[in-house]
Amino acid sequence: MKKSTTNNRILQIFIVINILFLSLIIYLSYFELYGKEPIMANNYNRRLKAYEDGIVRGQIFDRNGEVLAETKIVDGISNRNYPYKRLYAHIIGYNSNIYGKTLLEARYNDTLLGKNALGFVGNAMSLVKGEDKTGNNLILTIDHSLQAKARELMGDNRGAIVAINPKTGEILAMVSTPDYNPNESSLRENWSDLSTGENSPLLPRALIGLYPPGSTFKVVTTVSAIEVGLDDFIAEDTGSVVIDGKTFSNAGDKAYGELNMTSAMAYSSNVYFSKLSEVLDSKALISTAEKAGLNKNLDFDLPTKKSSINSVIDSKTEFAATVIGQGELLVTPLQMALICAGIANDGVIMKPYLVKNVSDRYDTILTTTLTKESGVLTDPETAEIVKEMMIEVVKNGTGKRASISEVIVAGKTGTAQNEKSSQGQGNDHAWFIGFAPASDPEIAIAVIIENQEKDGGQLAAPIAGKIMAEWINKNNKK
Amino acid sequence: MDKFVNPKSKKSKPIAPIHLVALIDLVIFGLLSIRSGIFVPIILALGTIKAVMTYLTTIVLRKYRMGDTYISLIVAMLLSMGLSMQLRLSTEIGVKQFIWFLIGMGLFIVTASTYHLVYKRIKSIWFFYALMIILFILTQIIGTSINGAKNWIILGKLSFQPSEFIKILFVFFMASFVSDPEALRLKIADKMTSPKWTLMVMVFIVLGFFVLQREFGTALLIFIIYLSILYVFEKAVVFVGINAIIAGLAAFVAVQVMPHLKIRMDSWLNPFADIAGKGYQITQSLFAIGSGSFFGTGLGLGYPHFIPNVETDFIFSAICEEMGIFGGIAIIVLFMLLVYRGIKVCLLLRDPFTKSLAFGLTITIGFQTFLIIGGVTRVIPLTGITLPFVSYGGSSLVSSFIILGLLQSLSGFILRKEVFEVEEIDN
Repeated sequence: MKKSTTNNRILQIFIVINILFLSLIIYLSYFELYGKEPIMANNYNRRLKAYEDGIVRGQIFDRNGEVLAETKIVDGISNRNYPYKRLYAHIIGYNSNIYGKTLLEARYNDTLLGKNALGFVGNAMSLVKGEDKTGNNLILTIDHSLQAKARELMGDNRGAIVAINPKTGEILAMVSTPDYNPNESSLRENWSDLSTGENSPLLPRALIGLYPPGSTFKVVTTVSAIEVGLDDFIAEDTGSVVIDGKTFSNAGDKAYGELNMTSAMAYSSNVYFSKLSEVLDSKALISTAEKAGLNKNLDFDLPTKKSSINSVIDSKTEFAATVIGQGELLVTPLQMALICAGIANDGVIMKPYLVKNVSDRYDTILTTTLTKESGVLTDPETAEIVKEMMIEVVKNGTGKRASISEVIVAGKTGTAQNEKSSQGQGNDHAWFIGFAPASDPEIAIAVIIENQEKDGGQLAAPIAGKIMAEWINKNNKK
Repeated sequence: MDKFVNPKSKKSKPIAPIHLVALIDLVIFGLLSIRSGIFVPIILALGTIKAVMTYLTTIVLRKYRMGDTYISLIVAMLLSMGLSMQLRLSTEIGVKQFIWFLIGMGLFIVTASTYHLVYKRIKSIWFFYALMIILFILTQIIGTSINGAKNWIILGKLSFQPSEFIKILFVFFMASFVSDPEALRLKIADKMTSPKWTLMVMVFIVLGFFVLQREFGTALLIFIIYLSILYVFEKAVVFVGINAIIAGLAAFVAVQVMPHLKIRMDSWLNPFADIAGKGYQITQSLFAIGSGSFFGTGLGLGYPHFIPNVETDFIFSAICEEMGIFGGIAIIVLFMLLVYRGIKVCLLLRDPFTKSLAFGLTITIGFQTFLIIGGVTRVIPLTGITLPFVSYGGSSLVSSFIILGLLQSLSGFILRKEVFEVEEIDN
């Protein structure tokens, strides 16, 4: 009897030891599945750096194979080289030993290092063949010549340009200024200016710059008005109108007389649209704006800020201001380009993307990004009506300077008051959104230039026109 | 009766596992020998020797009916992983470890084939206790500090860590107590002391020496052995509880007053707070385990050298990095099997001394494994003891082989003796 109790107790201790061992096994499995995730990216994990040193980081190409970023290994030290320097700073970002990684270099780090399944297969082969380990390459949707043209037209101004293929969502060019040279040596030299500079040169304005849209937002207003059957709305424009005690007036205090919606768009009449606000339901406009992508996070290859509209607008003056693109409205240049692309593409907004393909070291295409819808802004009929109005803007209205010979262009100008300009401390932002050719759009564009004396029609429209012309000519030559 | 003590049984043919171990040896060591692109014949030679040794051991054990042939096979597999990892970390260290492995094998065979001749004579509790205290005092007098703790004895070219052997002596000491507790009924000031309380005082003195030498891991390990043996063989649940409470309070006070212990607790609770300092080791270990994921980077393709002390305390993390946690789990499962075989021997033994000796030795390996693996994975605070048969170190390897030899002897000659003696009485 006594002996069997001893053996029972021995078995109890045996079970305790086994439970301890099993708990280790369970913990290890848990650690690999979930526990390690928040710690592995720690700077003290020298493995990440060691892994990178042993691998040739993948290249980045434009849509035609132009090299935009490459890694050269000199004496065992790998060095990331950006041959076009500042031109792609706000798309590719930088990959620096000191300052880390940003934008595409950060988002596609695993792909560029071959750290995903595709890379492992390739590098297992390289081990056998005795070649250097190499990451995979990115092929972008960007067109280098269009990007260069857009950057050149931007000059020394601050602002952003986003050009997009409205049928696919491919980003063709994306410029944010001021910009900087992302090569390591240059970063090191200028870092204190870059990181603390007053004009925030490290900020990719096209993606995270939030601006009031100004009159370009009237595109969204007209969509909303047409959808509720207000396309025949007519108003007398006397140069200004008082709504609930606040005066709304046209740019330059011009009076246009009796206006229908098309001519109001063409002249960008604030009086007409303010009067329209009195018959338009604020909920309808907010709903249309949300369909246009406001108040939603944008699914994109790079981090973006959320464009926003107040989700409840009670005050009449606030609503009148919103209708003409002022008020509590903030949009990114990318978002405005998408809204414009939505009108161009029969009301359907395609999901924007920057990375077209991933390829391996032998330039074999490994993956292709599929185009997909991001959302429906409106129905094709409404889109067609708005398109006609936008054609009128460029033909006879404020956007004349965006016109291209032998091509019909649709567009909308904007001159947006901002915090500084409304206090008289600076100038308004100049906006233009548009697309061409109107019958079969190949390119949609948004241009914003910060704090300009000249308005959107004078300054932003010609830049947009030249970029669209460049792209259409290039496509026709093919 | 278990088949491995039945000389007539023909079922105990461990053919398949032994071929597997030999095959793994040849493959791992073969690949290691061409790892750098240049063929290093010595590594392949070591692998061959290792495989031959595995065969020889099993043949000898079977031929002379020396008991359980699986125990040494399980250890052979652990050694395949341990030695190959050491050779991968550094050929120099790997070769040294291999030499220790050969010495250990020699001691294993000697212990396994001779211990049954002497075990009945050597079981005086005072003898084992005196040996422990002498070793402690020797360490204090002629010991050398390595990493801030005076726990090494260096004699000429030979250096060893006494705590690895005190650990075994302690198990003998406890087994002697179980077989004859009355030896500790002392007459002090005309009063007879209770053996249990005498034992407790003696054990706490040993613990005190370990703490003095900053061997917190070993102190914890022998304390667990002490409590387990008391629980199993003395059925002293209340007494075990009292001991645990006293030790717990002592540990609590120690953590407050000893900065060395406090650092260990802090680096366990929040290693990322001081990642460049106190938390460096443990976080590097976690990065290694994490980067290995389930299948590992492959032998030679990781960065285990980023972990300080990787070849001793953190060898398990290196295995997890390069062989994946499946490699790590294999290690754990092998130890589970080893403990299982040890417990099996222990259940069959009848004499209190041999039974508690087998039990003590088995759980020493079991708990030591848990303490170090739990430590490097941050399940429990890191205590800095070695992983038996896998960590680098002569003392650790030799003492593990002595434990193995004792278990082998207990499973063979001694078990058979006990069985026959009982049968004779029955007749």
